Amino acid sequence: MRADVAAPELVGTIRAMATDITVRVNVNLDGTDAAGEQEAQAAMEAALRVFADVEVACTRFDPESPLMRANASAGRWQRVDPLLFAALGEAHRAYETSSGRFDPRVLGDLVALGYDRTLPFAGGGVATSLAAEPAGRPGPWRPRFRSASGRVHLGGAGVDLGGIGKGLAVRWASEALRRYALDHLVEAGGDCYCGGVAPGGGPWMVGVEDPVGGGEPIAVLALSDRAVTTSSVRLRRWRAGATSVHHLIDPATGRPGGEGLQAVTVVSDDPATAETWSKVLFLAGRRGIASEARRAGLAALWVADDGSLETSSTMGRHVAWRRS
Amino acid sequence: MTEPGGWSDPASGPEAGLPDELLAARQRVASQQAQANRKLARARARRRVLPVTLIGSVVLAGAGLADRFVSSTVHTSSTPAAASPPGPTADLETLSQVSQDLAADQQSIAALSQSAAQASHVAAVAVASAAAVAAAATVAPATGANPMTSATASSPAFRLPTVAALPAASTPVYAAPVYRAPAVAAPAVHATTGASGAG
Repeated sequence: MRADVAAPELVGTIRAMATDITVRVNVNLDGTDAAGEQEAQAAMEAALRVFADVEVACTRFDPESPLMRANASAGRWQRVDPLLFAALGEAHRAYETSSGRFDPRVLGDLVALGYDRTLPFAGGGVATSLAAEPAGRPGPWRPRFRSASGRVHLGGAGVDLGGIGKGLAVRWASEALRRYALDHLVEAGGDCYCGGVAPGGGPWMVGVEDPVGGGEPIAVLALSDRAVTTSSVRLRRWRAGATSVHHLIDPATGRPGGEGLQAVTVVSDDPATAETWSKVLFLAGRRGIASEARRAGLAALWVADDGSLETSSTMGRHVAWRRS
Repeated sequence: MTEPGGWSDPASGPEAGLPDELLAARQRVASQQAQANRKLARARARRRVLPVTLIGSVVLAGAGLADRFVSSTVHTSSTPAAASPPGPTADLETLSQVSQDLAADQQSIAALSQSAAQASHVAAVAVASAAAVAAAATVAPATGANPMTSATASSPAFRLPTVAALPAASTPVYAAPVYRAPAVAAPAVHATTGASGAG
């Protein structure tokens, strides 16, 4: 964990959840308020620590993690880590609001495709062994929660929180920062939260990465008090046996979905909401994404396999620039 | 009754007793004088009417020439040669189109040249006629000659350049302009959203 004081903003970074995390706080660090600077530093470190804590609680790549221990006892009541308890509750909320199109029970499908450990996607050329046939689709997900005792019953199936965990971490980190400064930015790979205004007084400018590659963004969004998340298959794709697959699994089929799409970006008030809906829209595929975004009233931007860029009507207000 | 000039009626005046030869001579003189007066009257009439007619003719001829020039069709190629599809066939089509356009342009130039020559000839004849009439008006009482037939208008030797003599203009081949929107660079960003880290 590293936190640098560089006037006029405080910048901290950490490597967690397989991503470089950056937190920026837009504060006046002119040396006249030593106590205030210490408080800002403490808030920064607390925000960065959130990512480490969420990773420890929710990773599926550590068999001793709270999540994997809970998955091992998915068919019975158990007391879980408070952070995991909160994350499981948010995952179930997303499941319900998306009518089951976001379903964390795709864990078995990912493992069947060989994604049962950290894979070196950055180097490319990743291959796993046999892609097993997906298991039969489970029925409705009905976990149960007892808040007073911190106990949960997962309903019999193990879950993967990879589709919401980072968004939750961004949300909680932003809440930790907001106690000190409204003007801040939390950047965690594809997930960002832009609180207040950027240094200089304008909105935060967030570049949307070209999923095909290249250094220039395909669009730039101007955001204030908004979260933005992108679900892309540019990095996390590999060969499972003879099949090219990626990590965005359609819970309806147990196989990678999102035909015809390379990436989907969603702007929302909340980072976790943006993250779950970016996946739901991606799985709608190129044919269904426009109607799905319109039905849900989402500000969305997507890039098709042919490189074309499209946006929903409500995304237009956020687009400060787009590639011509 | 005494005539102007001191002459009196030979039949009723004091000349009644004059010899026949004298009376006949007086009648010939009177007849010649009347004939001269009529010729002078006609000449005066010509001096009044002909200049107006000639100037009007020149104006009309000039207007006709201008109208011919304005109304003439100038054939131009509306399709840039470079817009044709590439390849040998396209090149032949382009060459054929250019040849047709050049022929049409030559016809237009020839028509304009002919019109200009005719108009110049008319103008030259009119100017020469006006000069001849003016000269004849001064000599007619003495000679009695018809000025319109005696005056000879020689048109100047106009020789407009023929089409073949025009310098061969090489038809320029214009490349179709390709519109390129000004590239506006992406603004500076504070963060990036995209593929999350690998792991």
